[in-house]
Amino acid sequence: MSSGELVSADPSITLVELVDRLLDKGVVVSGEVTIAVADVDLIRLGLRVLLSSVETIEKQR
Amino acid sequence: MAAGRAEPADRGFYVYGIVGTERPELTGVTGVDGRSAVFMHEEDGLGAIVSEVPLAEFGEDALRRNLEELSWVAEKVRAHEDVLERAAREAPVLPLRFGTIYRSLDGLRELLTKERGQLATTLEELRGKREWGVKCVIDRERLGQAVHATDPRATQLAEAAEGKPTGTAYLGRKRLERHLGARADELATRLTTAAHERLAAVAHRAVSEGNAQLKAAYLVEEARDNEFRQALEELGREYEPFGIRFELTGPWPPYSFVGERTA
Repeated sequence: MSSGELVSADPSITLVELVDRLLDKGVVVSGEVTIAVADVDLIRLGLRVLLSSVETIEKQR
Repeated sequence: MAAGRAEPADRGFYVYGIVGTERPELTGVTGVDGRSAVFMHEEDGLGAIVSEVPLAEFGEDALRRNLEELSWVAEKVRAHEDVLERAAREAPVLPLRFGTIYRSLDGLRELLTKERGQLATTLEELRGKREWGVKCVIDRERLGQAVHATDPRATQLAEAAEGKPTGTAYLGRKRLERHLGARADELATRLTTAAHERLAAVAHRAVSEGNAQLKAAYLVEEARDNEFRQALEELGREYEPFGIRFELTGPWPPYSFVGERTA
């Protein structure tokens, strides 16, 4: 298969995976502007709230 | 919003990743700001994948504000990932954490010079390998049924609760539920640990935030991709009766194998 395509077709799963990787992993270098850990936690929290509300909507269908 | 062309002081340099002697083609690739061209900054045999960004959007304060907007985050992490995926198709890439920005190219130069040895070594290790993400999703109800069907103690407890007065039957059912819950947890942990071991055996390196709910990343040689997928498909078939399903994502640039917490 081509190496550019992500296997997962579910955009919400992919977004969580993206945030998990891009904001929490990867090489950390001393850039002049970088994101603080507290900001990352905030994003995760926001994502969890968003995703649980999506799940609730789907269950109510 | 400032109109017209921004002054150089209003711009920063967003760094996506680092490549070694093999250079990906970046012509026509657009950066996280949606307009600036992505380019290669070369330094002493290493290349940094960079694009300019407006500090009005990516400066310290702006960045903190924007990170509270999930729609902004979603758009930008996808853009960062798109750039790296393009590059990773053609060359080994060290992915940098999202939001690494330099105010001038001097800082970036210093990084590439100072960390040269370590960066080059890691790039060499990553050659020809890609990261795959595996998560398992557990259907608790089906797992519970599977436990119930095979556990003699559960049958005993269920029989004991039958035909008893309401209060006693209720307590009996509660005891059964607790028993089944604990057994289901044990079984899930045992199965997902075994799954991780089988997948890790096909991988060059593996990391797991292991518990009952497997969440792991595998660095797999491209030549062993099929083997890895086969192992996962087999696991999927074997675990289906227990209500355990695997979710595969990737291939990813090797984010999980370049940070501090790799093992």
